[in-house]
Amino acid sequence: MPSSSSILGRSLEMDDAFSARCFARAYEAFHHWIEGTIEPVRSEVKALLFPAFAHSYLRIVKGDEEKVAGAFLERWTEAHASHFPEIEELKRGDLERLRRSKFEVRLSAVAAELVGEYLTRTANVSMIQLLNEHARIEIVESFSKGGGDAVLVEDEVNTRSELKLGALSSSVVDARARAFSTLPETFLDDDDDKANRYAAALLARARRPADTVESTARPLLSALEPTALAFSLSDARDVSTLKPSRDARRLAAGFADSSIRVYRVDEKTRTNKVAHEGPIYGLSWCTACRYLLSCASDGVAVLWDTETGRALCRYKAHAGPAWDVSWADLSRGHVFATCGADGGRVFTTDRPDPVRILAGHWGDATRVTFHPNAHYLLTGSTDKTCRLWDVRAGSYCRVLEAPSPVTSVDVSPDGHYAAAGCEDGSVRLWHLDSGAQVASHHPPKKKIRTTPVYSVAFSADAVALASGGKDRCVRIWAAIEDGRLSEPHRLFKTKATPVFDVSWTQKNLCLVSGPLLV
Amino acid sequence: MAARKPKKSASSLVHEWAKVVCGEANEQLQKASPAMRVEEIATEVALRVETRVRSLIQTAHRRRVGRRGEKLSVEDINGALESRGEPSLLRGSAGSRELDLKKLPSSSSPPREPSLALHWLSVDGNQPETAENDLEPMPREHELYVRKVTETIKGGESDERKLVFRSLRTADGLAGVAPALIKFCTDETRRKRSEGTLRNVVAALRALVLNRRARVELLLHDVLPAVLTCVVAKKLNSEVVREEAARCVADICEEFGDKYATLRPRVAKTLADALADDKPMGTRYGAIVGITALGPLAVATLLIPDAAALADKLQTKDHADARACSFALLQAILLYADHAAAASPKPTTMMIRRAA
Repeated sequence: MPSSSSILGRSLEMDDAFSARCFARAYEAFHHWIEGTIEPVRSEVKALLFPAFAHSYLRIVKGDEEKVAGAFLERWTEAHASHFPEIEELKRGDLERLRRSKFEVRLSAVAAELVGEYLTRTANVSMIQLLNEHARIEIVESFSKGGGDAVLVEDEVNTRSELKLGALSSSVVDARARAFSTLPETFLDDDDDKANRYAAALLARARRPADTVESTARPLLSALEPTALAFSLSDARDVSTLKPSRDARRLAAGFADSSIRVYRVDEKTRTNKVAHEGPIYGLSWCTACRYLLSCASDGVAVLWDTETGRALCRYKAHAGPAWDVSWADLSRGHVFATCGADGGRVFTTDRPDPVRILAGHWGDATRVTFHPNAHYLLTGSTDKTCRLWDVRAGSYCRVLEAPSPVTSVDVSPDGHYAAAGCEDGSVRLWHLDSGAQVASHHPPKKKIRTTPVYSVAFSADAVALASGGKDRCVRIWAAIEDGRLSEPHRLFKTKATPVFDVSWTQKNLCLVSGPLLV
Repeated sequence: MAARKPKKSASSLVHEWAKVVCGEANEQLQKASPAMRVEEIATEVALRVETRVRSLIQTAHRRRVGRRGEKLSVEDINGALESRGEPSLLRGSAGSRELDLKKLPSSSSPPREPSLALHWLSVDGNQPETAENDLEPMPREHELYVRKVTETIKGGESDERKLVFRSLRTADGLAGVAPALIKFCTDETRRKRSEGTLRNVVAALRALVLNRRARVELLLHDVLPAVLTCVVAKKLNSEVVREEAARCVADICEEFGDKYATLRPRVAKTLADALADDKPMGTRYGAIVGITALGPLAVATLLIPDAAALADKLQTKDHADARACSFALLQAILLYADHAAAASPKPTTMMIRRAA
């Protein structure tokens, strides 16, 4: 983007009532400062006043503080006489257009610097956040004459570029299929000769043409009448993240004491590893279920070989905590992404430094996942948006608005839909190409703020969406079929297991994992 | 929870605090900025402090959600402070408290290693009635059926038993009660029971395995270990139970072995391990019977290679158990020889002679 739309990086999320009071005060301070600046600058930066005013008003209204809102509008109407039509809109309560649009403001470099300096010095967080989100500041070389007014433009991020959401080319898919077919055929890894020989003898018998086993080619399970396998970890109070491998044979568990354990389902063994400092926040298995990535509050991502149990490589990803990590779903090209307070990072396994830095969220990027064709990746953030990033360009091409800070994201296997679970327990579904919301579910009011959705996942045939969270339930949404998320299609309660992760295998078996709290 | 009230009181609390602090520092404040009243300064201070505290809590909250914790912890707040370059303020409560080492062992159990357990949360859209799933209570008629079966297993008339086992073997609609029955049976094998009860338990499990409509498949992970235990248990003084359990294991392998490729190798491993020298004679007897029940292929790969050595060892001991073992081994070899003779024109007489 040519324009520099950010004045400062971070923003502060506040609860609505508190922020309403903050915004009234913050706007007042900002207004007085602008009125007090010297002339050539003042006529320029005055253009920022109306965007700041209008969006402050929107925030106050959102905070349900009617009295404050009325007084605020009354007090400043006169100062914004030139924006009469917009003020009328505000008075009518017709707020949708303002909410969806951005103000375009042209400022000289000097003026922009002055504003930035003032806002930073006075720590006027509310105004910083507001201008970051709703004004696009274009820097021009010289002082513009007379300083034009702010121009309201429809925010066109979601229509600006065409997306290539199709599946991967067949050669890549073939490669992936080959990776699957080369999975080892011995079932027992230890050196038990007898049992191995017996297994080999059984296999040899099964391969004889007389009794080729048809039952091994089981059909896809139904996602609407799902079969769900639950992995529950007992005596694990401080477990912080769980991830089963997609062949359902292993479970990786990260703990708050910075250790990682890998459980093998059929052997009842586990390995214990430490390479981080601080709680583990994210884990991701590669497609062939051998390599594991972990990320933690130390901002580092570590690549593990689970066959040998060794840490292969460390990637310094973030200054703050690394909230999540995700492999690109490819058998070749070892690409992965991490996310943290300073945005997303794309890595290839052979380089210690990121190959792309994805900056654009106003809050922490808390979840990341690749689009199935790996050209794009989706991040969820505490700034109440999900963003779809073009990996090659390193910029975002879709902004999807969520009702509250995002705690989980997924992209459908066909590549056309995105889903997110939020901190207030709501689940939302978007059409990626248009950036439009397809369906949404909000929990009943009284449960808000207590039940984050820790995981959402599309089934392998993209027919259903599973979500699970702190409320110890797994919900199956018949996502795309009827376009509504009014009631969960199926609801499975566990007795005492908050659902940390839901995922689906290739055969459409739903895998649910969480700690058993007793 | 009333979400609103405490929040407002938090704001006003900060405000009151700021008023007190500014009131105390009244003189200095007046000197520094005579234009402002103390109340104005207090309001300003309160707002700044509240913003700062809120932003700190927000950062800590982010960490809590990140580690999917139930409550905000001391570490979360310390982490938030550290990430802002500020010294951590709070310490965990355990560090400051003195522990009496003498009382420690009795007062609390040592921390246990986290362990993994699997269960079916849902099967084809229905939640099975296992202990882990949160379900409605069992219907009355199911409850009655389960009670009848468990009472009979614990000790019923022989006619009654036959009736019950036939019902378990053939009845429709057992899918709903199967989990409860299997839970009862597996619990029963863990306890020390009379031979008769155990035999009934194994027979009941076998009947359920053979009844396809009972859908034992979903509970195999509970059934198989229990039955295998009955085959190779160390402290079990009943050959009849071992034999019945061995037949049940063979049935399970027959029924589900093709579907689950690891099932047979896993059973084979358990049985082969039970043949080791340090195992009691009863366990070895169970292993031989178990392998024989699996069929000639299992005998050929698991038993025949060591048969000669095993037979030698068994012969040195003159004990009823050892004799039973020898006899079972002989039967296994006969089965294998039969099969080998049928399959190939060359009989393996050499080996049989050595083993016998």
